Amino acid sequence: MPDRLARLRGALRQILGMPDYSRYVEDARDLDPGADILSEREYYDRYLTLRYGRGWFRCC
Amino acid sequence: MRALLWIGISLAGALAWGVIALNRGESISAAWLILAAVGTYLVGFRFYSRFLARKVLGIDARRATPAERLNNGRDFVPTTRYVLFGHHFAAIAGAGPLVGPVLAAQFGYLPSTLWIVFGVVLGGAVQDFVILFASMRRDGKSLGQMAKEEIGPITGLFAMMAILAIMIILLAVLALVVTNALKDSPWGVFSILCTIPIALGMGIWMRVIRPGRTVEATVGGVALLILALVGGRYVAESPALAPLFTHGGVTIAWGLMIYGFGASVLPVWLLLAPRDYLSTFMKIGTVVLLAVGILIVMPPLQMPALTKFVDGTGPVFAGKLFPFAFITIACGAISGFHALVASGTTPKMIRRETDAPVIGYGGMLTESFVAIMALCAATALDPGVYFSINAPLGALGGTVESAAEQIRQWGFVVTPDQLTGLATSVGEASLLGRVGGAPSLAVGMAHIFSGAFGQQLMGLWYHFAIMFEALFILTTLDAGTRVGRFMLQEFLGHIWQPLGRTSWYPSNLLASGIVVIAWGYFLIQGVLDPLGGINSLWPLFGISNQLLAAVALCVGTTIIIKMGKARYAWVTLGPLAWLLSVTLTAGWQKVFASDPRLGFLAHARDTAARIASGAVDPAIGARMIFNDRVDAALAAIFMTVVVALLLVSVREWVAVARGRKPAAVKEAAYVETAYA
Repeated sequence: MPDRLARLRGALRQILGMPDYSRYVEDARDLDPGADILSEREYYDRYLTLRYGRGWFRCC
Repeated sequence: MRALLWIGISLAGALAWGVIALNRGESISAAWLILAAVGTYLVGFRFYSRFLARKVLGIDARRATPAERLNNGRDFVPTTRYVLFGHHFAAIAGAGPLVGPVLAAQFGYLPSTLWIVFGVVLGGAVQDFVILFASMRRDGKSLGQMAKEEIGPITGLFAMMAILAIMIILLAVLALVVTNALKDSPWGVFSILCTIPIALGMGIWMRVIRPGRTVEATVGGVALLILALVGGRYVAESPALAPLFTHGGVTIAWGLMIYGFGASVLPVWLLLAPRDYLSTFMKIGTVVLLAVGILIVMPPLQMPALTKFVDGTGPVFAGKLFPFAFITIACGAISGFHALVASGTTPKMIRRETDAPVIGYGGMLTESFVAIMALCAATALDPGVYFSINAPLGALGGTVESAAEQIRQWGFVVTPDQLTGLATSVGEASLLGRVGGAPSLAVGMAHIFSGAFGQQLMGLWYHFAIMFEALFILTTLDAGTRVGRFMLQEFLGHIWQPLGRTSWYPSNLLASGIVVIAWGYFLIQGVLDPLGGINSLWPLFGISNQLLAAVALCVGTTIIIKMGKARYAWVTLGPLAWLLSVTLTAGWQKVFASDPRLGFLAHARDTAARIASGAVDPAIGARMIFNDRVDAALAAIFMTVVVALLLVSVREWVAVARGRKPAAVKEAAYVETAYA
């Protein structure tokens, strides 16, 4: 049950375009087990640059 | 069994269309509109999108998507189909599909319904899907890049210029919608002002206090928004506080410009990101709430199927049913802006190629459904009430008595008491001449919500709807000014290199300032316009948005032809031909029509004559004439750009058809998926 709740929250975050730190940690380990993991604050900053950095826009 | 189900859905849709078509003179329930729309969407999705996917585009379940091949945990992330559907829908939906149908309701509910439903199934959803597919096959390239690579280098520049100009008109017209909703409304102004400190607080929470905790910050932010909404009523009723928050249109317009400038030069974490979450959350919540409300109340549609204003004499905006119904309802049926989203983040997140139809085609069907709901909310209003809010003050006169008399001459019945009572019930001094669509949509939504969830809260629901619209329009002003700034900096960088550096603060301030002045110019012009501003600006926006769709369809057609599927090119050529005839006719009429309400140049001549006769102050008149000429020039530029782009595209199509150029596309190389 908590697993399902976590999945639902993860889906909600993605729909709203929010960062998801725990998912990032999981993905980063999957992609490259030896890689450095960003702190939550560093991850948030990187996410902000990625989403809004080059001009983010949505439709009217 | 499945066949039976689809026969049932088709019959239900056909029955609903039959009821809509045959029922004249009596009011019908909104349920028939909803049933007809949903039935048609389902059939369109099941059959037409599948045809597009299999026969035309050749969606390949075995081909790996860029999200899979380039997965980097950042922008390329394979995402579950339904989550990405929600994400994509949140990115394409905004104020457009809500406002357009409300304005076009002056023609009656029938033309709008037909265009929203069939326009999306045959045009809008096709455009979104084809562009999403094309970008997905090219590692998420943007519309401009694809235009450059597939058609020719000059088209990339054209597309870029068109996008910048369209953005400026869009920002101006959205700001005008907010201005008209907030003028002389202390409740509205107070609650919207509150959203700024709330967002700042959230921004600080999410980055400084509890980094990355966006969900809790958003939940807290929404709670504070509701508090601000309730607080607004006390402000409006307080003789001491109300005057502080009561402002005319010009003051509010300047406030929006200052906000747009300030917000766009602040760091994104402080204001843009929190506002983005708040408005997305509120948008999805409100759309769901509206759907539930309409399903519970099933309001009867008070507006006739067709009004006499199809002849072009409508007070909301000038111009005949053709072409103006089709450019006024922009985003609900087909929207060029979606091509920018469909060639942006979404294609980088698709997990399987077979997910593309539900996201591209299905996402746009959902947007169209939002437009149908807005249409239901507007046409469920008493037509007299609808016109009292949406006709400009210049036509209605300043009092409820003069408004009721004018509306009687238009053939609808409304009493002065009814108008006063309505304004009081939503906590406003007056709703007369609040053009722009948002206030009448808010009244319509308040009717539906209070019908579904309790009658006493009319005022609260009205201001909830206003806040929800203003919230995401303000976010758009911020985001759009930033995008405009980046584009402008790219241009300026060619003139003097340091101006192109987005990390150089003086360059940012300069470019943001220019963009804000550009949209602010049109905004102030709209606020001062005696015809209400919407009459000149909304058609310009509609034309530009549909022309951007024409650009996207040119790119789509080129790609389909180069894929060797020229025999199916009609899927994009059909909507392209329709859009060109609609927008070029509308553009031509806006520039050259002899009716001064319709044609910009005729309005300039009319103003000159009135200056000569002493009816208009020469200084004000000269400014109006200048504005008319700017608007006319802009419409002419839009048309020229599109015709040029069309010619370049046609040359390319002919070259491929005659075998002078190979029918080959520039897709990323084939890699087999590991998900199959």
